[in-house]
Amino acid sequence: MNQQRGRAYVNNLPREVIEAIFHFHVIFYRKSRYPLLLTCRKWYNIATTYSTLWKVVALRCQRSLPPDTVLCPNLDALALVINRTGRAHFELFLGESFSNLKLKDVKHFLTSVDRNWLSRCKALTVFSQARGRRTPPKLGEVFFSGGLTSLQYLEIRYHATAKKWESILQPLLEGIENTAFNFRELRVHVTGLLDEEGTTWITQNIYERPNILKRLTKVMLRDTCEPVPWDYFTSIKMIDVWCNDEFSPMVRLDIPLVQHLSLGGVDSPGSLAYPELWRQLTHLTIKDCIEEFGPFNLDLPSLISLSLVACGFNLRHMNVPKLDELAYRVDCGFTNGLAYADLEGGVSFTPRIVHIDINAGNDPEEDWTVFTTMLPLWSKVEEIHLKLIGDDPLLGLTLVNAVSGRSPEGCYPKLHSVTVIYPTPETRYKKDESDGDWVYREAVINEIKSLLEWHPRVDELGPLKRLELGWYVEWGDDYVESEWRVVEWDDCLRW
Amino acid sequence: MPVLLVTSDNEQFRVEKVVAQRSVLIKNMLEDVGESDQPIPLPNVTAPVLKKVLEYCDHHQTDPLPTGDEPSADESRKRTTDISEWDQKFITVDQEMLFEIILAANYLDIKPLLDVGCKTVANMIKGKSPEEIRKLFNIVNDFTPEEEAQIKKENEWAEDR
Repeated sequence: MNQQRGRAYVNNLPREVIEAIFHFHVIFYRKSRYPLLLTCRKWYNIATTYSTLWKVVALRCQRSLPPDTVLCPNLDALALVINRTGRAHFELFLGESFSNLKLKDVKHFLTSVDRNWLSRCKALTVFSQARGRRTPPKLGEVFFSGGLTSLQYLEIRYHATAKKWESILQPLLEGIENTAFNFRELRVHVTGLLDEEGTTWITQNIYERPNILKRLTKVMLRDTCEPVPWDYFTSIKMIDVWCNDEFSPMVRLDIPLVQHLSLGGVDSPGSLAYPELWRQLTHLTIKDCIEEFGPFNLDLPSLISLSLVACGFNLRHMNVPKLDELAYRVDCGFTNGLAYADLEGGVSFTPRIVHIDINAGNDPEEDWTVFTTMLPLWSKVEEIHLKLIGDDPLLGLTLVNAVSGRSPEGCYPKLHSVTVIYPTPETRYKKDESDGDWVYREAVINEIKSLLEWHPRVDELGPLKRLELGWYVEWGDDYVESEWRVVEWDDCLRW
Repeated sequence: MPVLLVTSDNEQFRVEKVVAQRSVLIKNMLEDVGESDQPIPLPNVTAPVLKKVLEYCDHHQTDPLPTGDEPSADESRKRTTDISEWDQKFITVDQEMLFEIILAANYLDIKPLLDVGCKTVANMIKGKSPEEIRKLFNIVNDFTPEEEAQIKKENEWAEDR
């Protein structure tokens, strides 16, 4: 009765405003949809018809996924969620036990889900399938029986010890070939130690379909073994290839349109492409490479953006005269204190924008001081984007002093924009360690405040135009931006 | 140049154009009427609420205006920003005023203020059970026991993320 005495002002709000509140609650604050469904009839109706809340959905998935994903344990839940997306597009993740579904359950699912459900699927990721029950031979054919007319993105994740799911892949690819005419991006991500069969069960099925390959503008092949028929990739603009120690799928790249290239696990990248291709590249990413067979000599006259992800080689042999933007990602497991050594010693480029992972705890203090304050690399940096990683994800006094211009003065003479992102405290501390959560937040705020306090006091430096603090959630292992997301930002100049 | 705004309870507010134009609705109305002294009627906003809204507009008068088009990547990013200290103090009001401000921001088309209001309400919901949310906002549970049980059963998998 007490409830009825006061007015429910919240329910005077129009639908679109309540939707916005739900959006902040679920998408930005990553809180449960459940209480929204059970508060009252009005909220239930809004929540169940607001497609944005349900548009990233996973079935039977134990892996880490984007933070706004709806995790469905069974097909009934999946049907419910997909129906809640209305007519909107959605992204679907099929988890480790998808291939163990029973055919009768899939048939029941198809009777309870919107008839055109599959045509609204924009992005699909299929994870490794756990060994166990035999896959029903018609599972893929039945599940993917609708048209995939909106599908633009397919990711296949396969671990060498997992079950091969060719009987699912074939009808899926057939559906893509015949109906997904806007299909643009393919990622094949293989992990684990492969046997002799390698990855042919995946790649053969893909490479024999030139109609699919010619639609692709982006492809990522991580540790596939078989040579890639690049001639079929007539629309490709972005290539991302990781090589395995034992197998190399690369043949020399000679594709006129490619300006964005990403290479991983390659011992000698210079030999993988014709000099013309290197010369036309504007964006290059090199991942997980070491200088095992001598220095990398790369002449990259058109390159404006270079990303180095978990690499270990000296960069002084790279000629990149137009470099504007550098991203330097560090493997969290890099513990020998040399994570930043490649940026020292004769590196000739002086980018305007730098994105860099900071793993401050691992390097000896004197090395860290040299790295943060004395490199020619910083001489023209105007924007610096710092991502904190590792066991102790804080900037630390040395870096705070350097970036703020306090000590030594003016070591970043042109710097005017700084963003710093930290892992969300809840990813570092369990629920029963809420004190740790707050201690960490406080430490973060204090170092940002310290940055703010010192920067204006240094006369040689211009005012900071931007100082932003963000919190990120990570769910992958590639150290690349598609596998982490900043979920909160704060403009610290307004503090 | 000042602009004259008239609320639903007939109070008049004379404010600088730059402040009034934080509202896209008022900005469009001013563009429609051109250079004129005509008062602008705001039939959906009362004086106490408009006073609060204008306080916000005055404080934020130099912020860049959001564009009417699809938000740029940077604008979308900004939407995720936490509530600033000033905004938090500003929005610390009783529930009736909070929801009146949200309604006014929606009507006057002041997106940043609407976001502050929505984030505040989302923050209030954080970590609460349906029962606690009902209590907080005086919402009546209008489900029948059977409906409630059915929704719980249908969505029990969604309870913990």
